[in-house]
Amino acid sequence: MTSEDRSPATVDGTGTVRIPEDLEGIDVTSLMEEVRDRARRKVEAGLYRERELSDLERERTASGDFQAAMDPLHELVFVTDIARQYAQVTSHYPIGARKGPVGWAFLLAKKVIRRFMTPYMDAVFQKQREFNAQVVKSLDLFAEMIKRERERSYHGGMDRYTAWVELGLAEEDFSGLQEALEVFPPAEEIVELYSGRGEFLEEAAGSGRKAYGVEQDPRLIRICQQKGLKVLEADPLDYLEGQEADSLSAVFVRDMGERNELKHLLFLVGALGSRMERGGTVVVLNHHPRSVLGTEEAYQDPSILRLVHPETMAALFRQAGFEEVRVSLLGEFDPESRRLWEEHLSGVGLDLSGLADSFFAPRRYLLVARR
Amino acid sequence: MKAETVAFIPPRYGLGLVGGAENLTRMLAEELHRRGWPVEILTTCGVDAHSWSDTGDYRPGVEVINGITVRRFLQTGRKYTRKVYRIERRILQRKRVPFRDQEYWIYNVVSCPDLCRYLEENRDRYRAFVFIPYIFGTTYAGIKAVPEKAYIIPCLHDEPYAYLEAFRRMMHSVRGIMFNTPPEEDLARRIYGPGLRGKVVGGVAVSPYYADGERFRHKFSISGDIILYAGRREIFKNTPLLVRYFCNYLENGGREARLVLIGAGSVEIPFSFRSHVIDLGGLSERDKRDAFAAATVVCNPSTNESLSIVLMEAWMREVPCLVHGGCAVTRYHVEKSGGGLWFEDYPTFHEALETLLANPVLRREMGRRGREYVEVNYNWDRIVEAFEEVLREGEAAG
Repeated sequence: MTSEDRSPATVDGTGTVRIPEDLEGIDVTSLMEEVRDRARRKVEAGLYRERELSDLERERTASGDFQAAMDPLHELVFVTDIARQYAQVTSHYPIGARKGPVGWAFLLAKKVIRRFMTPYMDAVFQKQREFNAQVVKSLDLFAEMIKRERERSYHGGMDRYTAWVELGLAEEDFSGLQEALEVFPPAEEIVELYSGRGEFLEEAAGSGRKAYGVEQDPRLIRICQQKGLKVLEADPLDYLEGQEADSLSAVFVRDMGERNELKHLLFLVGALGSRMERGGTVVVLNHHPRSVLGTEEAYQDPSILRLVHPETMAALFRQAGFEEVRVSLLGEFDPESRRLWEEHLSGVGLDLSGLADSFFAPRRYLLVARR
Repeated sequence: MKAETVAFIPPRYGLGLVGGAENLTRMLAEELHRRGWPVEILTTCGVDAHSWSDTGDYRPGVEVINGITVRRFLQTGRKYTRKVYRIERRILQRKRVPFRDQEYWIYNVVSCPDLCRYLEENRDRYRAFVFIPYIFGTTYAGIKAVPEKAYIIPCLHDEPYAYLEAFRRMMHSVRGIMFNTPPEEDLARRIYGPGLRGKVVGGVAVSPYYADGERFRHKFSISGDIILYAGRREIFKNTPLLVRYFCNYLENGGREARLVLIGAGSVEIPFSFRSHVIDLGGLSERDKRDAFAAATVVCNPSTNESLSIVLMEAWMREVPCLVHGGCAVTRYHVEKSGGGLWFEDYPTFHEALETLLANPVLRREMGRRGREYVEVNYNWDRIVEAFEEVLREGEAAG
């Protein structure tokens, strides 16, 4: 950076530095000059002072001016650390005495007493040490249990990169992508939220369509970049939130609501409802929970937490203000497999067509919503 | 047949060990292994960076860690006597220490005669011996044993030990020095004079990684702005200074934020600040990554850094960093990248932190710049190429 690139940062009335939205020309060296200058002026004005921790602690404890309420886990870790410091009891405490001949005599006497008492005291202290060690260990275990329970109650799920690339459990069924693509008007640029490894973007590029992805996992973005696909790095929810109202015309989402918490699905549908322009199209390609075999296939991918029923999804879109919502089923199973299955069970004398409908129902549904 | 294997000689090695040089060795060795280089680790059975005792889980012999052969040796020759302590005190006071005493001290910090014997007896089996870091007896004695194939990743800091004559001679005797950063190279040339062979290799690269900041906040129940310190908690790394500055920041009307400390070691937290200074101790790799994703600012107050992987990890998640202006290396990274700010004393700490916490737009931009800096300067292709070049130059000079 050159010296002309002076920081356009300004300081407001409260002394806080304000940085404009346009950060072109921000230079940390000049920003640091401003930081130093502001610090110097505040020190001169006596606005703050630096104190030793012990002094701060004494003042706060005396005034009671501190926040006592803590998270139980933090409190537990804090007290366990203190307990750990005092757990090692020993008879070798420092012995002191006043100066002068009497003091020396006392010092000697204390040392002699300690020398004779040590074997007896050590036997007691040994028991105490063992007890303390077990108490500290129990507290550590208790803290670990709380952490584990909290981790279990977090419904983030396994991330897609780990599931798809590291564990090799990616679904290789790409049926429906071409059908999804054909729904959008030909001239529209399509935004794919959670673009993953970029299968839809590849399909779009192959058909000569303009499309870009929005993805939060940098490792998946790298895979897309290696394929020459255009992907923005952002949390799709943040991306939607940052868009103007009525500004998006074509959005595609695959496996919508299947990997995140339900509240994220509700937010996503709501945000699409306000960010899509009038007549704009959202296409969702999801797993169809009616299909038993399709559901089994879907759950081989451990990043999937739930399947969302097409009626549920349609209801959410209608509630979010989409006037036209339709659902179609895609990804039929091989009819020959169904015939063989029905033939195999024909001996039981039951009408199995209803059961076969559930088993061999199409794998996916395509939801098209227009505002 | 020409020997191909490159041996790394750190004083300790293993998964889960906390330490910059230890992480650097493991990451570099594993990357070379992935690229098909024959790599071995020759090390001691030590675990703890303070006691260096062999009483941990490591046993002498051969084991394989992440595909790499690790040969461990017992530290039989080490004595931590009053004499060692006395010499160390004189070194730290920057008093004159006779050369013989310097060697006595080095041999008794971490010493492993079995390892040196192995190096002497098996020198022909290896293409190069890469010692790391400069300060330990394994490095000093090892380089003396096999100078014709010795290379060093010094991880040099501006500290009294670095100025010993013994280390000056050692640095001039190796085939090549692999520096982590330009400021480290400048420091070495300033202390040891001209004629040093080597160049900046860069140490390690940090690849993009996925992390879930929300998971971290949920698991550890932390909300609001987080100032994260990740690394060993000790006076040498300025952790107590950070705690003191942060408590003063809160007391002087600073923003509501939490200082979260993760890593090994212990730090004293004042009772009345315990709701704002949260010590989580050592965390799993996943929790550590999630902590970076959850952080608002990552602070590294240490003045003894030769690379600072923590900054790289923070920038890969686009988190801005606040560093100590007295550390040439971390300040160099921040100035060069524009990925953060630095402080020189408490008032500048207060104002720099305030600036970062008050401006999310600035934080995002700094984080983005930091990430660009890491991707361009600390990528494996570049590092491995520079590593190979130092080896080639060393072999050509021989």
